[in-house]
Formats: sequence, structure tokens, C-alpha cells
Amino acid sequence: MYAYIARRGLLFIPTILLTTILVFGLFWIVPGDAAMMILTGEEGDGGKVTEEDIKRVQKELGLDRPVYIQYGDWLWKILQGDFGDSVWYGTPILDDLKDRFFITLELAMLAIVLAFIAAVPLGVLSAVKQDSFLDHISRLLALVGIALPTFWLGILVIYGLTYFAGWLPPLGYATLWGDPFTNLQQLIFPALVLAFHDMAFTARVARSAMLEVMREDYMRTARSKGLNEWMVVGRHALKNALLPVITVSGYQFGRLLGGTIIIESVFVIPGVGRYLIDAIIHRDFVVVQGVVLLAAAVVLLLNLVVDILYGILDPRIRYS
Amino acid sequence: MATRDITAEGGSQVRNALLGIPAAYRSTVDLVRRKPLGAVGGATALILIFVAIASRLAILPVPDPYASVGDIFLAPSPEYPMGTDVIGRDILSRVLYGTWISLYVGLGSVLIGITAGFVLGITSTYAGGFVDLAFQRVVDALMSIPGLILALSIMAVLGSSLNNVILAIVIGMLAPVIRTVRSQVLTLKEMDYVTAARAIGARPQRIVFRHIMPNCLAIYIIMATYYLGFAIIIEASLSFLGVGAPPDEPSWGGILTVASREAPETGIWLLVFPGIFIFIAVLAFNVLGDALRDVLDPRLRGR
Repeated sequence: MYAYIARRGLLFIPTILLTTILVFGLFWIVPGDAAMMILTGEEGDGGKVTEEDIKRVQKELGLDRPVYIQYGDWLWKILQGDFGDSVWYGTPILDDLKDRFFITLELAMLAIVLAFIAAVPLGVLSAVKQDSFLDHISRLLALVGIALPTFWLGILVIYGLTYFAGWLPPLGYATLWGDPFTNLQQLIFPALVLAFHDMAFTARVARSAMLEVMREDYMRTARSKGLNEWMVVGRHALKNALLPVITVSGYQFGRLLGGTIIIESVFVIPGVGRYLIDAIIHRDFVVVQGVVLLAAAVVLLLNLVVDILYGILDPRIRYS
Repeated sequence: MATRDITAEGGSQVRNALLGIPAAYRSTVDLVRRKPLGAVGGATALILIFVAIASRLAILPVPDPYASVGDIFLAPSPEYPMGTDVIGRDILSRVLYGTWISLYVGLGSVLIGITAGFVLGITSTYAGGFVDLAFQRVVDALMSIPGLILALSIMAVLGSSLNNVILAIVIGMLAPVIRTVRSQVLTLKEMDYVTAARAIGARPQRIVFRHIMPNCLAIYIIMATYYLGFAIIIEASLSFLGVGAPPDEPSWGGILTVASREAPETGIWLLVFPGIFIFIAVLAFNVLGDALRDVLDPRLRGR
């Protein structure tokens, strides 16, 4: 067991290092010059930028040093928890991110839980009653959920709330522990929109996992022992089918993060997504770099946790 | 496979009738018979491609999508079936022109992305050893950045233009494509006929071109169809956020950016049509992909 965890953990280190190189490289190969871009972003046109301005900004950003030193310096600071300062706001990125990170995390978690609550019964029922009317409906729902653009669904929900209910989620942001009721009002609709999309994927996985398990020999054994069908499905099938479902949900987290970012924009939620998009509009690459790295790190950590859990729950994985 | 299925049903007349017809037509008939939903998806996809080409050639009987033709925010009427937008442009014409943008970006990124993914995936997997191991770690790293976030930051670096959107989507889909190709190649590598080919002394190039690649064709077509839907959604999302197609271009996502601000004042029709087009396009390609997967690769059926 420990050997498996150690092996899996060791794999994590080169991957996260490569990720930092990718993220750093992405912004290092900016066509033209980052300093020039920041300056033209501020001034609106390139005409007024002097050679001195560029030199000054380059020095400020440390862009006049060789690239490997820049990378090493950047990585060293990040390891100490210093993501640098936002070029646009002039504030440390980590301070800006702290609260926003929890908002986004809460939204994503809420969406995952909602999606799971809807998807698992849906997938299980459509596998148990394969090719029934219910199965067709649930597969149709999954198709619709995948094809419906989340941002469009979000816009329609907002429109529906204002137009038909005459109600809008309260603006601003209330924390979960400060004002849980307002907090829930703000997050429940975006979470439902995200969950609908996520549910489509999860239900599909749950259905095929169940179908796979139902073909196993121990299912026939359980039935021939005279157990009632609910017992067979609930105790024998579901328990075994749930594992791949949870794993896939874990791996889907990256996709969900992407969805969260766009839905935060639609519902004006002050999370990481809004911060990232504002940074992109202001060409604030230090922020973009930090946020992208953070998102990747969260995804990698989650994958690590999922893999280790999988190894604990399913001994077959450990020895392969 | 097409003929086997028909003979199994004992329809020798059908079979004889079909034998004289080119294989492509026969497999189309087969698709319609066995997967009606997939066939509807395929037909819808063909209509969309036709609309895209027609709008590109400017032979559609609609006003100029870039010019103001009437008052602003007109509700749908016989003259303007989808109404007019914030500066009085005909929304129907903009939505139809948007088909070109969506399919240009979609097909462009899928052709480049899947092909590149296949070349990289097959090469590294077949090379095996350290090359494969190292390359897989790069794929791991690339995969850890969520697709939309990766595409967003690439657009931030490159600036908004249609070809940049294609590049951003290609980089975003490369890692999962390589992963899928890899698992396919790993299975094929262990096949008896590959071992047999190696035993008679075939060179690796011959094995790759004669045995591995032809067997990857089905999965290529299936993935291309699925990722087309994915690419259309990402393009719409990027354009909606204002970093995809240039603002003046009639991209479906871009039309929705303005519409989402104005709709509460003016009416829901501003929002409905571009969204429905995105939805139908993605749905059509996904349904077609499902059907193609079942027909071309029976091993994956029901997954």
C-alpha cells in the first residue's frame, strides 16, 4: 500500500514541475514583448511608448535577465507562496485570490454534489431498466446536458428569474459562514446550471459502470441465492459501480473549473473566474500565469487524491 | 460489416439491390436503417455545412450581416424573422453567417488537432521506452490545465482572431486526444496480426502504416465528430467572454454577449436564436458521433 502511494506521489513531482515550465513558457513566448503589451494596454496605443518606458517596465518585471533565471526566480517565489503582484491592481495576487478561491471552490463543490445526487439514481435506473422508456429519457437528458452551452443556460435562467419571478440573486457576495442564507441564494442557481452539465457526463458513466457490473458472475450468484432485486442492485451492483463514477467525477473536476469560470461571469460572482477574465482583458499576465498554475495544481492534487483513494478501495489497482 | 448485418436479417433482395451501389452510399443507407437518430444528426450537420458555405459565398437571400438595415431591437417579424440587434443589424443573417464561423473554427481545429494528436500519439507510443515515458509526463502536465482555462490564456497571449481561436482549441484538445490514441495503439500493438507481421520481419514503419493506422481510422472519425461539438462550444464560450472572434464578427457566442445585457429590457428573442443554433449544432455532431461509434466500432457499443 505505502509503496503504491509513494510511487504515485513520486510521479506527481515531475508532472507539477513540467506544468510550471509549460505555464511559464506560455507567457514567455508572448509575441512581441510583455512590457510593450502592458504599456500599450495602459495607454491605449503604442505611439506614446518610449524606449525608456519599455526598459523601465522590463526591469520592474525582471524581463532583462536570462530566461532560466527568470523561471528559477519565479518558481522559487511561488514555492514560498509569493505569486507576485498584479500589474493592473498593484496588489499581491495571493491576497486577491484568497477569498475568491473559496467562492469558486464552494460553487464547484455545490455543483458536484448536486450533479451526483441527480446523476447516480438516473444512471442506475437507466442501467437496471435498460432500453426502457426511462432509459431513453435519461439518455436524452444526458445528450441535452452535454450539448447545451452552460453560459447560454445561465443567461436563460437569469432572464427567467427576472422576467417570470421578478427576482434576482442578491448582488455582492455573502460568505457561507457570515450569511449562509444569502450565500445560498447567490450560489444555488449557478450551481444548478453547472450541475446540469456535469450530471450529463456523470449519468453516462454511472449507466455504463452499472451495465458492466450487472454482467458479473457475483450478480448471478446473488440473484440465485434468492436475494430480492433491490438488495442485489443496491448492495452488490451499486457499491462496485460507484467507484469508477467517483473517479471520473474527480477527473472531470478540471472541466467543471472551466465551466465555473464562465458561469461566474454570467452570474457576476466574484470568484477566481471573474478575476481571471478581468486579468485577461487588462492583459495582466502575471495574474493569468498565477491563476492558470493554481488551477492546474488543484487539478493535479485532486487527481493524486483520487488515485490514492482508488488504490485504497480497489486492491487490484495497487498491484498492476 | 454492413453486408453481414443485412444478410443476417435474411434480406437477400435488399442485399442484391445494394451490391451494385457504391460502398459509401451503402453504408449511408445502413446508418439510416440502424441509427435513425444518428442519421438525423448527420443530415442536420450537412445542412449546417451547406448554410456555412452558402453564407461564406454570400448567396443566401438575407441582408448584409455587418450593416444596419432597420431600427434597433425590432421584435421578430416577417421582414426580420429573428428581429434586429443593438445597432439594427438583421439577427437572422448574423446567425446564419455565424454558422460559417462556428464550422470554420470547429472543422479547422478538429482536423489540425486530431491529426496532430494522432501523429504524436502513434509516434511516441510506438517508440516506447524513455521517449514514451517522458512524452506522457508532458501530456500529464498539459492535461492538468483545464481546457477552457488553457484556451482562455492562449487567447490572452495571442489576441482575438479566428485563427488564434483554432490554435487555442487545438492546444486545449491535444492532450486528451493523445491519451485516447495511446490506449488504442497499446491495444493494437498486442494484436496477433501485429506480432505476426513482426515475426516475418516487417519494419516498424510498415507495421505502423499497414496495421496500426488503418485500424485507427474508425476512432479518428469518431473523435473528430465528438471534438467538433466540443470545439463549437469552446469557440462560442471564448467569443461570449470577448476573447474569441473579433467583436464585429457574427459569432454565435459574440451575439449572445450583447444580447445577454440587453435582453431583460427588450425581450427574450435576442437570446433564443443564437443559443438554439449552438445547441443544435453540438447536438447534431454528438448524436452523429454516437451513431458512428456504434456502427464503426462495435467493441465500444453501449459505453
